[in-house]
Amino acid sequence: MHSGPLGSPPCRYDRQRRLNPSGSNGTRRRESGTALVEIDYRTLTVGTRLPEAAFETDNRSIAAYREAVEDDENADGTVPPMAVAAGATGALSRIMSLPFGAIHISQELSFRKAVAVGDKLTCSGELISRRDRRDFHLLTFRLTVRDGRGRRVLSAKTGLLLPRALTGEQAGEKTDERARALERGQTADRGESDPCTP
Amino acid sequence: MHPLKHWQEGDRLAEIRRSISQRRINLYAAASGDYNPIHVDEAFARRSPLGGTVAHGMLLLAFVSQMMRRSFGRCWLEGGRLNARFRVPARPGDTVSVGGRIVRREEAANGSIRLHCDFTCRNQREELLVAGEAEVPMGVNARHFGQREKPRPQEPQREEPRW
Repeated sequence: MHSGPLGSPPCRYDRQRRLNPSGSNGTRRRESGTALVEIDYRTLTVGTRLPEAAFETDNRSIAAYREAVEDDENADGTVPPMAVAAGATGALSRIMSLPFGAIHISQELSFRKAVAVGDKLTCSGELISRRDRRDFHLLTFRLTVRDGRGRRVLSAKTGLLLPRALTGEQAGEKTDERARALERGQTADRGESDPCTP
Repeated sequence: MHPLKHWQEGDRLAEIRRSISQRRINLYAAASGDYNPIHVDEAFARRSPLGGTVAHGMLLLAFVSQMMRRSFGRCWLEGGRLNARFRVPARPGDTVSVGGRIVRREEAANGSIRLHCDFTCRNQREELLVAGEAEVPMGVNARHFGQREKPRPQEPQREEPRW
């Protein structure tokens, strides 16, 4: 059985609230008639907040998740906590363009409240650490998921390793210079773009 | 295993085993929305340094969470924490065994108990795929949950009437 992924409503980017019309660190794309912003990881600086993404934990998507992970415990109508985490990281991946070679190297999770099937959740994120080395970038994001009443149900830290060999960058290329160039719109691979600085 | 079990340091959590197949990886990609081709595109993954598709790290953590929930019930859902490091990716054809044990039992003055566990995911070759730690708060009323129940005084045996 397949249904939409957790977080299936595409992440709507509240442009009025979040975007600075003058800058650029995201390219806008269009999916299913909804304007989305895809943020480029190369331009993110520590402290950058990602736009909020909403997702639902409806029966179909949770059933699909349970089938995938072979989770047969459904006694009390609660969502498997890792389904909430998957929804949050899935939302992150839809907001931000990561190269295909991105490797998930660490994960911290803190489950605050049980989530009932059908709850509408909102995920927000922030880049809290960034290391740019000769051969790789190491990014750490903090994610927070809140329920419809604004209560925090999940906190997470996600560590991603981005090998330059897989990102199309040259080893040792100075990312901050590249980021500045991207912000000035000087690179050829940029389309229309928007910032998401806090 | 019942969440109110008498947990002590050194106790092992009931192991979980799951097989990894490309079908399962694809199902997880569909459920989570993570379609990174390193997970789902065999041609792409073959050309990558990993040499083939690999399972999502979060899929393995889902198995860890299942083990924790089976052991600690709702306490895991409302206050559980974990910290995982991904060492080696799981691949289609692997059988993943998830195990854990209690490494520390903290008892606060108010009676609440916090259990500290470590956990691992290993494949059939005993390679360490994921290592990590987890914490579970057993609640303020956990003193009697976490401790062995005192044996009830035995009631005097009544003689069954003979019919």
